[in-house]
Amino acid sequence: MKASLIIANGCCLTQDDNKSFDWIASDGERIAALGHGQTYRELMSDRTILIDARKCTVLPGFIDSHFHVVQTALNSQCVDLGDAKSFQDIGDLIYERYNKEPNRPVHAIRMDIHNLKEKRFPTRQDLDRICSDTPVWINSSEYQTSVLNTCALLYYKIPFTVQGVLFDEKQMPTGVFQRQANAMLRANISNQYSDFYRMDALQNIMPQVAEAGITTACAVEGGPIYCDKDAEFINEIIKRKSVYLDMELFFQTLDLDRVESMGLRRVGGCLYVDGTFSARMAAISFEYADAPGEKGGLNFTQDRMNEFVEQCYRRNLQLSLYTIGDRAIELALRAHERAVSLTGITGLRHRLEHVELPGAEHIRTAADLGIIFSMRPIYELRWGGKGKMYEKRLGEHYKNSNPFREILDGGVLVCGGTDSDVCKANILSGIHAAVNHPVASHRVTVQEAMQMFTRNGAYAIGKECEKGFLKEGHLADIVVLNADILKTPPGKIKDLKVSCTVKSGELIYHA
Amino acid sequence: MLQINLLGKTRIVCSGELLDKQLSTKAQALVYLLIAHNGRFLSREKIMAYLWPDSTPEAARYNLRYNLWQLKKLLPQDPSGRSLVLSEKDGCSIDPHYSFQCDLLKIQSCSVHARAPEELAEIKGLFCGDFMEGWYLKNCNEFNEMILYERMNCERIQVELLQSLARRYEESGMLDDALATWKEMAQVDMDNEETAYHIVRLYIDMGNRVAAINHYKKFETGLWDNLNIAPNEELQGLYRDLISGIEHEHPAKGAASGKERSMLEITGHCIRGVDYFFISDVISALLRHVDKGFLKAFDKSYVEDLSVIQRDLLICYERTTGQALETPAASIESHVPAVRIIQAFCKLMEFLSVRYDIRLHIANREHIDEVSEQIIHYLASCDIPGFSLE
Repeated sequence: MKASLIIANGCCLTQDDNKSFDWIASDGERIAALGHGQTYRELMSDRTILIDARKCTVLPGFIDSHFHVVQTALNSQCVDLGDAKSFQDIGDLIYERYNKEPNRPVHAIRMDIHNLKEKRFPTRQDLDRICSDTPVWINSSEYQTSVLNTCALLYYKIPFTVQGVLFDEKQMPTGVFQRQANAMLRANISNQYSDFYRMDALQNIMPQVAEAGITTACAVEGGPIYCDKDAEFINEIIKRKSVYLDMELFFQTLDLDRVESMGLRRVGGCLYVDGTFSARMAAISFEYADAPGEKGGLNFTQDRMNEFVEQCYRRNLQLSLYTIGDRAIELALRAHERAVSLTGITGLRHRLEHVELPGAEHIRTAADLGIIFSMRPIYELRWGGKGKMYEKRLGEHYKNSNPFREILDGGVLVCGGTDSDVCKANILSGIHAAVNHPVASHRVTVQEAMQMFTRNGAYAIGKECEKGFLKEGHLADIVVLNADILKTPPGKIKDLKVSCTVKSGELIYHA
Repeated sequence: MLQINLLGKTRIVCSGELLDKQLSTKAQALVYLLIAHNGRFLSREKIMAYLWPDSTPEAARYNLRYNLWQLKKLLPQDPSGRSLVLSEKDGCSIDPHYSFQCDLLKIQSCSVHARAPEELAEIKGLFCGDFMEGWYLKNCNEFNEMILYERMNCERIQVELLQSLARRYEESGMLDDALATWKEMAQVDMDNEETAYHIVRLYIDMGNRVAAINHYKKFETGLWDNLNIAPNEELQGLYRDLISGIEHEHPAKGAASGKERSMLEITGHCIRGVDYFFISDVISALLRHVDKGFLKAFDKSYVEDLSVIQRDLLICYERTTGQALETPAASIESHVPAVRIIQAFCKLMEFLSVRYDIRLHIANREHIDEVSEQIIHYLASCDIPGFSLE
């Protein structure tokens, strides 16, 4: 056998019982062999691509367990207002885009009024002063509010009679849309995107995804805030294998008939049992430190959740529920306990997404039920630790957030995701965050952190027999880093880069 | 007669001929602006501010004069020799005596509280799109504000009209029409809980509980998908009453209240020597054809007994009702006597025959198992109305 691709002179961490090899060879799309020293030479031919790993770490292709693929793609086409500090900044950024493409509507994202010196949303008149010739649509950072200029108000189908349209003193719309009105507006606009546009946007982000070493993503699509057409689009892409990235669709809907009619074997992703800490909507058992009396809210009653979870069991669907606060985790686990006792069905590898504040009892119950925690270590980098958002919202309870060490020790499998594009699709930052948790007792080893994004991710989608490991016969999904991660100081892991990404035996990224 | 449509795609038509193609955008805008002012006089300065805000006064005046001339030339006079646009030295208006038809004016003159349902229904038909759909004049802020204002106004009138019409239909006992109108309302505002309440309530009143449940479920799912919230307490309460009502209601009520009967052609297959196989296969075939919502009213103890020979019945029942039933263990004889299974099957046939005409066919009868054979004999002797064995 001659290899089509060989990565030599590396530190190939197989993710299988701490085994490591010096080289790995693929023949077509599968891994053909691993070995030590220079024994790979006998597999070489004129056509073999040889990559020198230069003693750096070689890993299975990363599996991102929570990735809003279409949203990331579409948002990559939008104006990013994340750094805007004033209406002037917003104006400059929007005008710059308008000048580049004057005939296209301007869509912008990540406007955060807390960052703006005006401390309020702009009105349509504010936006008209910036640009009145083309529709302008601005999304707030958490997508709960939209602002339109007058041209966009007339261009898009706007539901003025529904709740959430804000009016001025003359009873004219201010251009600010929230709640139902925002949801309808988002749906109307998202539904206008053609699949060609989605495809273009998706192709545009593929180089960045390859650069991040991601070869498989759990595409969490559809449902509130997002758009069901996104889920249908991804389902088609998966069937047609139109992009190199392997995707597993998690359709965020309660409509199980629809899920089954699409031929899916799983449902959920961001099926919101509660909300975020940031919006103080995560359901917690204590009061928010910065909002006495508030404990967040649950979007389901226990009965409704029981009914839904049981339905998923009876239909043999893997279910993934969005749970952040401890009350939401409790509600979801109770429903799973009931469903198991009622149906006797196990082994579907149900997941909880985010699971930011589990208690010891929750960990025990999840371990007993075989529930997987699909978590976002990168949140700790962004919001964890002294003085950051978790502490502001949770007070001293911030020390209990994302307790990876306790979860793993409690026997619960953890898979990792980036939550792109809420956070950047950067797996190495996720590994860094899990290893360098601000609370030392919650930290995990580098090996454990890597497993979250490789073998555990594969298990969580039932694909551990073909990916997640460097193993003969597995798909040749391989990542080469620019250093040896095991010799890198823990605090420097986030500075590592991917130097090569191989997907199904094809080199798709080389630094 | 001249006809001007401002809802949906704007049109100016006379004797089947589209005149707006011959008019400049600003000339059309001038007509629509004057109509929106509903016969009121608009000064030339005001019109120029609406339509040529960036032009010099001379240019704006010239443009206005030119467009008024174009309108006078291209729009027909009415039989009494009047022109649509009344142009005077200081300003312009639509001539109130000019005879023409306009959807906007009809809608604006409609008082939703006073009209008969037939008239309201006719006006409802005029709402075929947004006010001046697709219109936006660059740099003409006041004109665009006018469109926005009228668009909101039309939406408000449409909602009031639909609500008023639906209530009139309900009061007159025209429940089908009321239902259709509330459904139109739901198209305008799909997440409106009050509308959903009326639809569910109407289905209940019409005796169609299955449709009521389905509508509630669909609405609940949509509300979650769009807004990530549950229906309000009032709507949830109605649904709870609906569900509990089913348990207490006689199952035949749907049929007795005039619901149409359906024909069920069911074929069961046989395997010799496997007890109950034919009966089990018949139940399986029935499950593929009957209304699952209707099955909810079947006594759950019979479901439990029959589930011993056909698990799909149990699964279907639990899925539909959300109730967990007792599940007998594997050994039939030790838990459920044969007599109970036979009785339960006959009860199922009786129950379904309230709503369906059932024709039961036996495929490869020579292989029928002995127990099923006995049950078929017994069933034939029961003389259940609507049930026949072919």
